[in-house]
Amino acid sequence: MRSCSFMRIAPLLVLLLLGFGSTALAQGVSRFLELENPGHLSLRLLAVGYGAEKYGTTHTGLEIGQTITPAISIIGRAIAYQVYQGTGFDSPLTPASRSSPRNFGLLEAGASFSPIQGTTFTLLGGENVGDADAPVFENDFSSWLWLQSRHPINFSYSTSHYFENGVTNGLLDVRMATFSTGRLLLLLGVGGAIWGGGSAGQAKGQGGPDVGFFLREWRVSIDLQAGYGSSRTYGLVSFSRSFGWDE
Amino acid sequence: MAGNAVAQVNAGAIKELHGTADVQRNGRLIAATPAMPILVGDKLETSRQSSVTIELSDGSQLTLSDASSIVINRAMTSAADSTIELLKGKLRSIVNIAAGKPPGFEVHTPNAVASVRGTDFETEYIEGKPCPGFPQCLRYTDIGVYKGIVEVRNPTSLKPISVRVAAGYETTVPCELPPANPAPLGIGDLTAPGYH
Repeated sequence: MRSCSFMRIAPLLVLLLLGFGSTALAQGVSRFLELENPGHLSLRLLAVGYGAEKYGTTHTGLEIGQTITPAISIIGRAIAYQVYQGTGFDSPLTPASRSSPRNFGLLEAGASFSPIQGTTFTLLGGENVGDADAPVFENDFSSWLWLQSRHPINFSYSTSHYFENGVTNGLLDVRMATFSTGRLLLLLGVGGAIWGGGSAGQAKGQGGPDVGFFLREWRVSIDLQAGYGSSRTYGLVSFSRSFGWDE
Repeated sequence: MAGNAVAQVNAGAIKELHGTADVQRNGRLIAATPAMPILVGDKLETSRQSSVTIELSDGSQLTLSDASSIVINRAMTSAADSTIELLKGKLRSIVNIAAGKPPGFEVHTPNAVASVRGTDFETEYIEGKPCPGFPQCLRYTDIGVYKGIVEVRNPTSLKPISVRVAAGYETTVPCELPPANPAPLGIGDLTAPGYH
């Protein structure tokens, strides 16, 4: 399942990178070799809530990044998950007595590569701790197209593979910077998820429109998504705040 | 001599100082202190992890970020008729424009001129790093606008093109090229690893 997903995504990745031309490629090589001076330390705090007709989850955590060269950063993540399952809908905030909440943490570390400005590819490995103890492999890709325009477009995906139950999970998003003021940036697009394999069986999916706000002064992102899929109607709210320090 | 004569004109005073900064006046280097008067012709330079805010005579504010340097070249009847030369680093300008009076406030960098048609904007001049979108250019100016409109041109470009940048957008001026098309302000923050 995992190799199949990768085979589908790899040609798209190659096409995107080749599309930027040989000059950008030359820039990319130098970005990998020169040490970043000054280096940059970043911290991102995040909180996400997901609710569907069949289950709900919340997770909160942090991500720390340290640049090594302009194109290479090392990344560490520590995230605490709560999963609420039960008969019918259980609110993550007030789970019903029949629900069976599970609590676990995810610790991951890896590296992020940015061959050109606006494009990053991140590889992470780690393990769940708590009510789950699965080794996890994750890769994230994000690319901004037409950055020098009023409406840049972001394409991103994130895939995770859990070795304990054999499930592969993929998230896809396409969003456009739609409106910008001195205080905030509004992004509109569509997103969704595909998961399957292992204990999840055949591939399942869900998707819908999403809205994102980026508040510049506080470097806060708020994203809202709602849609329909294998878990029927669902809603997703995510919040993150970024901090950064030049060293 | 002409520089000394100009340097007697008061431009404003230091309102806030974080860390350390120096003022170069008539060839002498003076440590900046809060409430210190700033004169036309003064060169201000901030150290790393330092910043300084200058309040000009009419209440306008200039905030110089860390490892940055400016020269106040001209300050006439008000800040709205001033020319600031940004030699390196980042400068935030909040200009107090008198009603009904066309502003003449400009920030100059080695390859860009930003003329105020609004009130709040940021100018950053960067050397030694590849310009985003123009990898062979190693010096460029970024201008981001928070309020109003700023008109940007490159006086070293053979093409006399100016770009009007509205609130919420920014432009980049690479080497001797005209300003790029405006893009959403701070879009670079969203291109960092981890965001998607």
